[in-house]
Amino acid sequence: MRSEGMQVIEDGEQTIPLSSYVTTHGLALTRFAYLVCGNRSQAEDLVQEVYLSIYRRFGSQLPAGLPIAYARTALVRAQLSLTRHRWFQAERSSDQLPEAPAADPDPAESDQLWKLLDRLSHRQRCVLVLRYRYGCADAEIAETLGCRPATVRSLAARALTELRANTSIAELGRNL
Amino acid sequence: MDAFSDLFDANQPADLERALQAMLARREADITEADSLNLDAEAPAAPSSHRFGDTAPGGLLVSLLAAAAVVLVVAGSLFAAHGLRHAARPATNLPNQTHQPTPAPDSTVPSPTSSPTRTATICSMPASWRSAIAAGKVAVDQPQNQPVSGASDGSFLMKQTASSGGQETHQELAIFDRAGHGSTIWQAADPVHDYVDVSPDSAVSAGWVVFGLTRSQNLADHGVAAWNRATGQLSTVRLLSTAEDLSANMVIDVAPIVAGNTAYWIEHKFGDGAHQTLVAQPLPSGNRSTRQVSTVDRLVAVGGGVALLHNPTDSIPGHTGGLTQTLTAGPGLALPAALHEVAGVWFSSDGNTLRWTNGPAATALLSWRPGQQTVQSQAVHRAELRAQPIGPFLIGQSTMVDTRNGAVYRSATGPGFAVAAGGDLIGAVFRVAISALVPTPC
Repeated sequence: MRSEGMQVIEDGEQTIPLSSYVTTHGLALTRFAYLVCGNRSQAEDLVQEVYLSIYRRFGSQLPAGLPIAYARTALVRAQLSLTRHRWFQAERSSDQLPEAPAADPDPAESDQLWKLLDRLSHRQRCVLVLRYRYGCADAEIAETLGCRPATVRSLAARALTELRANTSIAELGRNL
Repeated sequence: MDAFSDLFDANQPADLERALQAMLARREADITEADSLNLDAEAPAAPSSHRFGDTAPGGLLVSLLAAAAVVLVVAGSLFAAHGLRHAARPATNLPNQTHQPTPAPDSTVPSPTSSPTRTATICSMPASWRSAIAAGKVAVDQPQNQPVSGASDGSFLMKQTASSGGQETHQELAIFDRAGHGSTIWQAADPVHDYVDVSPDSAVSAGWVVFGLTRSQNLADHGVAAWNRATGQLSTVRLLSTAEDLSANMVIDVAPIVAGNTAYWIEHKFGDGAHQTLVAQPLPSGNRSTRQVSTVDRLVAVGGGVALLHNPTDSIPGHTGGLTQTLTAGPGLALPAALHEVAGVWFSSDGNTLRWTNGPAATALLSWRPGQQTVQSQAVHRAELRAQPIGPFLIGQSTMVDTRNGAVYRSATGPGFAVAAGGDLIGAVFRVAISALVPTPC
């Protein structure tokens, strides 16, 4: 977790409004959040946490070249940190009753492989998403998760072993 | 035999990996629109002139406070905007709803013993509070500071970091005493990758500070550390061996605590929260003892003993589970019958008293201290969903309820940036006596 300190943008550095960053990367980031947490409403909350953490760090003007990888990293670490501290499901105040969770688009019971991801640890799941959806190298994943490449390989191996032990041949076929 | 057996061999990694790729691509397409937030419409531009670390000490403090004040105000706007965004969802809007409904009372706890002033408004923090907070600034030497644990003697732990280009360049855990003197307990050799796991309320005793330490987030270098407050000596109390980690798959994923001169932590096989070992280690090097426990989610020190908080669903990997925990007695603690069936949320301890809320909606604040036979209950109105008890306050992401009078104040401190310590409220980066925050009606 970060404190309230704000990062300084050096004089003369090119900046873009945070809103532009959100417009450019919002969909990709929301999709990434959905894949790593498996739940649409939690994904939305995580994305909001990331926007807020970016704001806390940079203010409303961001360095022009801030890559989406930065937001991905912030999101992964927010999920890990918030889950550890049980703040993961913290909600914002409202005059309304708590909202019902947004329905996930396709809760198909038959999607066994998707459901099996819920059995993995957060870091294992992140490794699989980054490796198999985004094609990230282990070194890049390690950077995102804040661990060493060897740990990434260990996490991936454990995750694949878990999935392999519980995935039917038919399920593999369905997904190919 | 499955019809696919000739084509897809589950023992061939490539098939699983290709199946994963296809499934993730398909699932990604479930999301067709971005989650957006119009920050610029709600927030004034952040100042760009702050310079941390290049000012004289006095100037640094002024800068920190100024930055904190700006962030509090601005973040408050953001939180409000976020709340509005969620409120705008049509499915659950109930016009004119001003209070969260109070659920049927839990039969295991008494009815609320007092009824705070009902309020439907959220007001700004009283000016006297702001003054007290401003006067209570704590001198720090790093740009980013997060109080992470409070102790009954008024000391508290602060995680201090500095960063550059989005990466941490410095990370340390420091203890601050009531006089404001800070001492570094641990400094990361690898600021990007090292990680400390600190209990928010049970990491510090009169003689010791105990915390979890994962160096380089390498699973083979993970354990429990203890810092002797008298000598300033840091020692490793437990370190999982490579064999324990990689072969036996052991983890320590519940923040260690200290009660008196004994450190406690939970070990279990990854993914098997049903079979755990509670380890007690007299410090600095007494004989270790163990006890089999199950589904322990958190350890809390209270009254010199240890309370075990259970959350059965939390042991499922990848499942964040419900927030509700149940309570059982650990070493050195006796629970009256009134607490045997208690279930609650956000249990916290100031060393002497256990406090928790009755559910995520936090419609009642409950408390118990060793020796009492009953649970004290106080009704709370309009607490933020999942607000956490910190001292007499229920602190959520954007508001804090003063349970002494029921007033609700706008606040962007957030439960992650505040702890209670010896009758004081600690924030980033201030210390203020709770008695100085005089209950003030909205």
